[in-house]
Amino acid sequence: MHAPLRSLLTVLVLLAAALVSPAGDTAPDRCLAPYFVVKADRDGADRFPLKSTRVTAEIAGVIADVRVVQTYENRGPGVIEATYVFPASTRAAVHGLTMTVGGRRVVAKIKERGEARRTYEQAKAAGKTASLLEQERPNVFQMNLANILPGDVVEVELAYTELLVPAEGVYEWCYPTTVGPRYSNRAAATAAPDEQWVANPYLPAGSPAPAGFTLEARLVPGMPLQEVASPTHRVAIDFRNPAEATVQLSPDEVSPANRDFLLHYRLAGDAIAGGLVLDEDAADGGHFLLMLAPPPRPPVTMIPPRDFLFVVDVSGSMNGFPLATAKTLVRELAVQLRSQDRFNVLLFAGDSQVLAPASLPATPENVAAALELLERQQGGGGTELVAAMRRALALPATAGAARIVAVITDGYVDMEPELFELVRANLGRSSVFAFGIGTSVNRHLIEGLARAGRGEPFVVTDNALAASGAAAFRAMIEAPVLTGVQVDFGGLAVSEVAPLPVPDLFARRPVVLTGRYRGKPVGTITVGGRTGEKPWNVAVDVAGASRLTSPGIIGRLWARQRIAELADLQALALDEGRRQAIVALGIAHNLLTNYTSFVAVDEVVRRAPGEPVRTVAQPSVLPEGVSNLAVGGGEVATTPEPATVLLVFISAAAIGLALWRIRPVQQGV
Amino acid sequence: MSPDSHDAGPSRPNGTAGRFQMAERASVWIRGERRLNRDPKPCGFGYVSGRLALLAQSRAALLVGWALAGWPVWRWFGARLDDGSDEPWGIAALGLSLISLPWRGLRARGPPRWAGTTAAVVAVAVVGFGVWPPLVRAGLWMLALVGLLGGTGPWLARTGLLLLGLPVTATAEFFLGYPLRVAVAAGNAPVLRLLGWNVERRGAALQWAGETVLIDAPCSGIQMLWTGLAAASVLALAWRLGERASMALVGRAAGVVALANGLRCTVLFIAEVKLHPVPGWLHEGIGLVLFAAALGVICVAGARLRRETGGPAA
Repeated sequence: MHAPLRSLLTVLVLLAAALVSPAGDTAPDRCLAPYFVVKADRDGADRFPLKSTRVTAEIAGVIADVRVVQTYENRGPGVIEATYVFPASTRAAVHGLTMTVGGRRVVAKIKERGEARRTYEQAKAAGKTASLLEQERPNVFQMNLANILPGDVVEVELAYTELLVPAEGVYEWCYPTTVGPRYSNRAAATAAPDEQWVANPYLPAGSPAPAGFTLEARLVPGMPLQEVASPTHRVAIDFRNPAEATVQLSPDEVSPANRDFLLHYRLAGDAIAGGLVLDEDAADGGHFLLMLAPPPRPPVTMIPPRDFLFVVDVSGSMNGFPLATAKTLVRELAVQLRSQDRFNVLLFAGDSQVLAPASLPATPENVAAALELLERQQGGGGTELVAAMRRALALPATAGAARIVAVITDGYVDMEPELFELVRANLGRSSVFAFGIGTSVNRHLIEGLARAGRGEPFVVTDNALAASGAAAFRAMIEAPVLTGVQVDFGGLAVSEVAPLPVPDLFARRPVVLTGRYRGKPVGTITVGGRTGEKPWNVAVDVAGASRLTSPGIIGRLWARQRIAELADLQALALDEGRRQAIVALGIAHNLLTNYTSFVAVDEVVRRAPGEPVRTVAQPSVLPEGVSNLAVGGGEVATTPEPATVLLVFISAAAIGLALWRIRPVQQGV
Repeated sequence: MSPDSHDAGPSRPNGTAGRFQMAERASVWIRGERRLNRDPKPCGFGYVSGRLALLAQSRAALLVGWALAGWPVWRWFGARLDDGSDEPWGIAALGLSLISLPWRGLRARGPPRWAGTTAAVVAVAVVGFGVWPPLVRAGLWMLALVGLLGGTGPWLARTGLLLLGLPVTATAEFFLGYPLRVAVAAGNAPVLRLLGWNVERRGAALQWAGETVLIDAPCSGIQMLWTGLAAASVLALAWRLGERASMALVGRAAGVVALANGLRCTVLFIAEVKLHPVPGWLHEGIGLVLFAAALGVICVAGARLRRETGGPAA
């Protein structure tokens, strides 16, 4: 065979091999992953159908009543279906959804998730405008809006209630604005439908927000306010009287929706609103909420030696401010350890490494070595938190010392159930504290980890707050406030009290209990426990409890708490009975859950049969401080080829020169 | 076979005469010979088949048939041009190759030189219509055009340009991009280690001292390869190189462009890890200089092949 023919054959074989090999790269090998939105305006579809989000909150006592209005508009030429993944507070009890289209207001119905999805799909196929709100995680929701016609403006309003629990005398209301990109190693092809949201489009870091965002909160705690501030946003605060204030997001904020909005306030004298509140939402009783001020923190000298294990996320999404904050935090904690304490450091991203195979004494040399190891980290790779936690919890603990595991991460992983199960399985051996870092932390993971490990969640959203956050975190974990909590309800007939057993208090948070009562509310509730080495007791007169004027709120909060507990158990092992219990609670209390969704259908058929519908996923904004590395690309150095136009011009010049030097032979074809 | 050879056949039994005549007419129709022009009947199967046979002898008519039957290809081609996924320069290559086609051959009578091959290619395209990806179908259709008109002159270079004129870069990037990127990274790592940097390759990324340089899709060299192959094809066409020389030139062009791309990545790695930082515009400049050098090698190789093979193709 001629040499050129052999060459050609070789090239053809290679081409064929290359064509065949991707066929073997089957879909199950591809993981669910967030991605950057790609400009594809071939059909001119409106790529950003969500035009604005308007948040209004009424915070009365310890309960926040929040309304979120999302306005969608289709400025493209064709009919679209809009989907939008957005966050909410982990404590949010979403109890209502209304859709307004063409002046018609439709109140959504709560239905079992599958039924709601079918109703939505039927309406979509029939050409009716419909909305579907699904819960993907307790703090991540997805809005689906079908048949938005060109020129349509559709308003969707969702309502939720949230219980605000103060820590160290400070009340915090958090409104998350964007969902951080999640890392997942689940295969895209086999992932469950409620996992698919992880493959969510993102705008590159620094891109302007495609939708407007306004926020207004009214504070009426029922007691004089001492201090109101937002550590995250510029706000205008108007005190109407000593016990009432309105807070409005400043119009100067350029990108207000790329980080959590936090509102902090204190009551005069660091008082705690609450006591016993009754919600008489049933004929023979109702629901109760008990919130009691905690005792003062005991001195550290009374606490036994501790063995700290710092589990630090050094993955790509931690690059920048979060990793810098993590370093600050570990430094602050490590240098203040007592001589009898021991410690270890585990760094993780795609894989993990430990400072030492076993915990080291907290000597200055060991602390310096730990800090040097941490300083070398740049942030990169995936977030294999489950494997890291498995390794961390398997590390030998120091005999006679209390093992405290501090997990420092932004929580951008999608393996919450496995993590919670792992931490639960190690209860009794370690107390797990989750420290969330980032402008838009995955609070579900942070709070779930803390709940599973009987610890406390802690979140730092800003570099400026890192030092004070670290100090507060250290103060929290070095000495529990209240242990061995016992509750005696006296003559009050109660049921389904949550949480039971009451967990130890590490932060100076109030003891909060919710439950059902039956019969006449009389008697005395006594709560007791130990603080340091001293006993602590407080008694509450039931007859003196305050009563809610609009019933149902505490019932919803109670149901939300109960659903959270059931969902935690459900994450460990799927159980049909538990699923049905969650569905029943969701439908009885009109609550959005993992198994119940809101669906609203406008009965007017608006799209002509056969007219195509394009699904547009509203891209999310990357949280402030999170680099493009968290999505996978953007900031890694590359070596791109020159522009094709230049290559073509150079080629034309070279060919021209060659032909000029060696003229082609003039001959007929 | 002479045009009149079927007139001198032996006599046949009456019962089979009709069938024999039909078969013979069909055979002649397939051969496209003019003999049936003498058919005295103004209508009927013989007349129609004769007219069709006449039409089939016209290459212009065959070309029109080719163009009409290829409507799915054209529709796909138009959509691909419109969706912006490929560089628009393929049109230039397509235009060049179309201009260079031996259109005068359309006036000739009788079957094309490669009628059998063309028929086979068309058959493969038609039979596998539902199986072939659109790009493969378009490639087969272009090969059919070469079969209809080609067979003379530097047909291989024309064919190459015709195929490069199809929207191939996005597909090549999809299927060949990653293997090429890995190959570039695998080639770069030992070179950089030889130069004294302990570079580690992870997939298509190069890592050194905490710095990562990714050989991503725009670094694969597909665009340089396409441009280099198109340039080699144009030279082979202009210098009317024969089949062997054309193949040799295209093969060398692929090799030298791949080498230039590898070298470009090596130099840019050194720049990107900030060993020797360079301004942004120089990144492109380095690539252009190396590509220009590769083009120089291609031109020299082409000129040498032209001399060695004794001039233009027949």
